[in-house]
Formats: sequence, structure tokens, C-alpha cells
Amino acid sequence: MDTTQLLKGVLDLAVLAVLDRGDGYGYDIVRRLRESGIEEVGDASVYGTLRRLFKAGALNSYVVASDEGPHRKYYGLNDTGRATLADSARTWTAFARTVDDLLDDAKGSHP
Amino acid sequence: MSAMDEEIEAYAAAVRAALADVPEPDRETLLADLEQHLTEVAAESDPTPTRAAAPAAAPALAPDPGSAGRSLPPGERLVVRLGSPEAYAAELRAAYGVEAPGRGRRSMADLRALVLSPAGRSAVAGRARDLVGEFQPTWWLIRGYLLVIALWRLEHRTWATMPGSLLDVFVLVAVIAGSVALGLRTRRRGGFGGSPFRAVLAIGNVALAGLLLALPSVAGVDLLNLVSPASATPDAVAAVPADRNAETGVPSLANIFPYSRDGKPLSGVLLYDESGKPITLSPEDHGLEVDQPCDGPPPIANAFPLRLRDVTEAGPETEEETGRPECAPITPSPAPRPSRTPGG
Repeated sequence: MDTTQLLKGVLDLAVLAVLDRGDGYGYDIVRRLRESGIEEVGDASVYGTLRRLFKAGALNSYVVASDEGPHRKYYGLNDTGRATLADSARTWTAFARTVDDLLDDAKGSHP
Repeated sequence: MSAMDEEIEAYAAAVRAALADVPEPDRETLLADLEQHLTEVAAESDPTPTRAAAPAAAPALAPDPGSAGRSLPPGERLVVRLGSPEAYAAELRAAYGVEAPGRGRRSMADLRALVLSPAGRSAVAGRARDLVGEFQPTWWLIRGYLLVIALWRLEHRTWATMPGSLLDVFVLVAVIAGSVALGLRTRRRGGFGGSPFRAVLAIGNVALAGLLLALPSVAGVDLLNLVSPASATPDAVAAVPADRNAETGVPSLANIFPYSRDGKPLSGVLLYDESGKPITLSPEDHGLEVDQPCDGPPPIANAFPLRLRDVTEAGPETEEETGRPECAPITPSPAPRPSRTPGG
């Protein structure tokens, strides 16, 4: 099964979850997603998602000046973002449980 | 510029080009910090191709996720890591939620939707407003000038495009300065407030624009042909009394009465100009004509004082006698001999 299709559905959730742990900028978010195990996420997908979430009002953004390099634009969750994260997480958990139950039935493995 | 910088620049340019059809401000949002991200990616020591890069990798290179520390030629690192610029742009666009461009030409409906969309409309309106703003100061000068031409028309009863007197110059400068000041104030603070003011201003602007368009036909004036009130039209010449005889430049006099130094009137004085030509006057302009004796030689035209009489019923503009057919026409006045110096 190609995980890219799955990823499309939950990338918003994954990005919100990463930001919940701490604010970050584009490249940093990509790296953290990869380190958490989602290796196949594309940079452009993450950047596009960040900007879409920002446009939808789920994120704050601010610029941090840097000594060694260019200024970086950081994103962070705001109240709307946190609410969206909670909501999406509930939806995901319920969905995953449903699919798990389906699989158990399909496996037909009954003790 | 290093090879890496060149690659980043080229990649970024290709991404921008692929997103050229995205309307503002979304386009700007998508492309912000692009070069920065590419630089960060390029700085990675181990360019692990992502799943997106695999199909688009350079033909000579097989994607090898596990290889660490292998350095790629600069021209391929970004492509291996991120995919082709077009793929990157498509992925960015898809994640953001902008519609992908259709294959080939956009349909007219798409274009119209693009232009009429709030983003498109504001972009077009913004650019149009900027362009209009560039021409505003020029219009202020032109409308001031037109208003002054209209004022001169009222004052001189003729169309003129250049000041004819010092007062005209003051009026020109004052009105143009006033027009510019009004324009600046209107631009900054909406004028003197209220819709009546704006309505008056709009009507005034339209009227002056109409004057500009109508001027060549109404006034017969070519604005590029600078003229002064005195010689604008033939009417003007007639309106202003002719002070000088157009041909000889001699003041338009009817007669000259020479006197000696001790106050004795002289007669039969012959007068010549600096080139030796006899001075002839224009008594006809004053409703007078030379009294021609019917018998005897006709009077010398430059012998002063002239013997004049009121013009006969035959009409003032005749140069030859019409009322008295038995009299001979005026003979030309005698020319001086070259050796004689006229005057004193």
C-alpha cells in the first residue's frame, strides 16, 4: 500500500502535532517529521501545508533574526490550531480504531 | 557565485515559472523564502532522495536511500533530493490548495474567473490605480493651463496659448500652481471634503478635458504652434488698431507739418527715408485723400505738408481718382539723384 495517499489525509494532523511540541520553521518541521518516522513526506508538501494552515488561521507566525544566516519565519499553534489538532486527533483515532476492527474481523482470527 | 548558488537560483527560477499562473497574493505566499529553503536543503551533507524524487532523478543516478555520505555533483543534488522544479511546484501547489494549471492553454472561463476573483481583481485594480497615479501630476499641469487659456479667451476675446502681458503671466503661474495644490490636497486628504466638492471637481475636470479635445476645432489653434494674443487670428489684427503701415513701417499719419527752428511753417519740404525712398503717408486710413488739381502737375507725394481733403463719395480705398475722370492719376514721386544725400 502506498503510504503517500494515507499521508495526504493526515499531513495536516501530523504538522499540527509537530508544532504542538514546539514552534518551528519550514525546514525544521520537515526534519522533525522525518525523524518521527514519516520519511516519505516531501518538503514542498510541508511548506504548502504550513502556509495553508496559516492562511486558514490555525497558526501564528513570527520572524526570528539570526546571526549567522537569514531571518527565519517561525510558525506556532494558536487557539484555533490547538482546537483543530484536538478535533482532528479525535477523528483520526476513531477512524483508525474502525479500520483496526475491520481488519480484526477480516483476519477472522478469533481466539 | 558558486555552482551550488547557481543551481539554487536556477531551481528557484524554474519553480517560480511553474507557478506563474497562480494569482497574487497566493503566489507570493507560496514563493516566500523559497531560496532560503533550497539553500538549507542544499547544505545537507547526505542528500537522501525522498519518494517524490525517485522517478525524477537524473538518469545516470539510481536512487539509493541508504547511502550515506555520497556527494553528488552540484547540478543534481537539489533535483535528487526534491524532485524536478516542476514536481516541486506541483506538490507545493497541491498542498496549499491551489488548482493545478490545465494542460496547454487556460480556458477563457478560467481566465475570467482569475481576473474577476478578489485576488485578481485587486491586483488589476491596484496596477491600474498605480498607473493613473503616475499621470495625475501631468493632468494637474495641463488642466491649469487649459483653465488659463479659457480665462484668456474671456479676457482677450480671442484664443491664445501664450501670455501676452505681465498680468497674463501672473494668471498662468497662479492658476497652474493652484491646480497642482488642489490635486495634491485631493490626493492626500480628499480635497475640501464632501460630495458637493467632489462633484464640482469632477465636472471641472471633465469640462477641461472636453476643452482640450475641442480646442483645435473650436479655436483653430494648434497648441503646438505657440502664438500670442495679438497675432492669433485675423480677427485680432482687426481688433487692435494698426499703429504702423505694414509696408513701409512708417507711422500711419495723414500729414506732416514741418516748421523751421524759429517756428515758421515750411512748405514743399521733400522727405526721404534712410534708403533714399520718398516717405509716403496713408491719409486714406484717416478718411482723407490728396487734393488733386485737375489742371497742372499732380502734387508730389513726399512734399510736405500735403494738401488733403475729405474723401469723396467714390470711396476711401481707391488709389486712383474715380470721382473726377477728367483728372489724371497720381504720378510716381521723383526719385532723388544718387549723388544727393537726403535729410541733413
